[in-house]
This record gives sequence, C-alpha cells and structure tokens, in this order.
Amino acid sequence: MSFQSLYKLVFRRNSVFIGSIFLGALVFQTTFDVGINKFWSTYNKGKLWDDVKYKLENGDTEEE
Amino acid sequence: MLRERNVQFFSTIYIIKNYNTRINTKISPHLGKLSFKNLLNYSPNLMLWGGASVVGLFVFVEGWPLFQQTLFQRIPVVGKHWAQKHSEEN
Repeated sequence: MSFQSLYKLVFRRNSVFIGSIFLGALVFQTTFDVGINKFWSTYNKGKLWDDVKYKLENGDTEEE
Repeated sequence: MLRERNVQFFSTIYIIKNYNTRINTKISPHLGKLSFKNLLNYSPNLMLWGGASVVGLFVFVEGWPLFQQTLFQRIPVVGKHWAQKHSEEN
C-alpha cells in the first residue's frame, strides 16, 4: 500500500485517523492478551492448575 | 380632473414613502455558530466521530465482564475468546 492510498484511507479525516488508532488498540490488546497467555501456558506446561487439577483430584498428591 | 390628479399624485408619494428600502433578510435558526445547514454539512464527519468514540469506548471496556458477556461474546468469529475467558472464571 502506497503512502498516498494510506493517506486517503486513514489520515485524511481526523475522525477516521483516531478511530483507526482505537481499533488498532482494541485489536492489539486482544491479540497480545491471547498471545501472551498462549506463550505462558506452553512455557509452564505441566505446572499450571489446569494440568495439575486432575492429578490432585484423583489423589495423586505425592507432595502432600 | 385637477383635483383627481392631485390626489393621485399625493397618493403616489404616500406609497413611495412607505416602500421598505431595506434588504428583506431572514435569519435561520441557529445556536451560536451551529445551524441546521451547518449540522447537515458536518453530518458525515459527525457520524465518523460517533463510530470512533464507540470504538474508543470498547478499548476501555474490553476487560469489563458485563460488556464481555453482553457484547463481545456475541461477535461472530472472535467472540469465542471472551466466552472462554468467562467459562474459565466459572
């Protein structure tokens, strides 16, 4: 996308510009949230409550 | 005859004297610089501002469970994200 078409689409009107900033923020914060959560659950696989829950409920409590 | 002409003459003068020589202008209803025509010209831009402010509101309301349940969950494709979020809490 050339700068001219970007200008026509986004920067020409201030309302569209600010609206696109807000839309970008909404999309970014959601995708960032999903991405970080996915990273966290893969990085700590086996240590999280969801992984340990069934073990503990079935009485596999070696530590306790 | 003369009397009649005189009357006519004076009556003409009388009419001329009563002519309204000012420009007949009418001020349209307005509130300061705002008028209906002004608003009509601005309406596309104002609608865009409305959309922008709604999206801006969504940014700050995204983490609010009430809005997640009533609004964000019902978005067709991406709504699953907030639905999962809420089922985890329960």
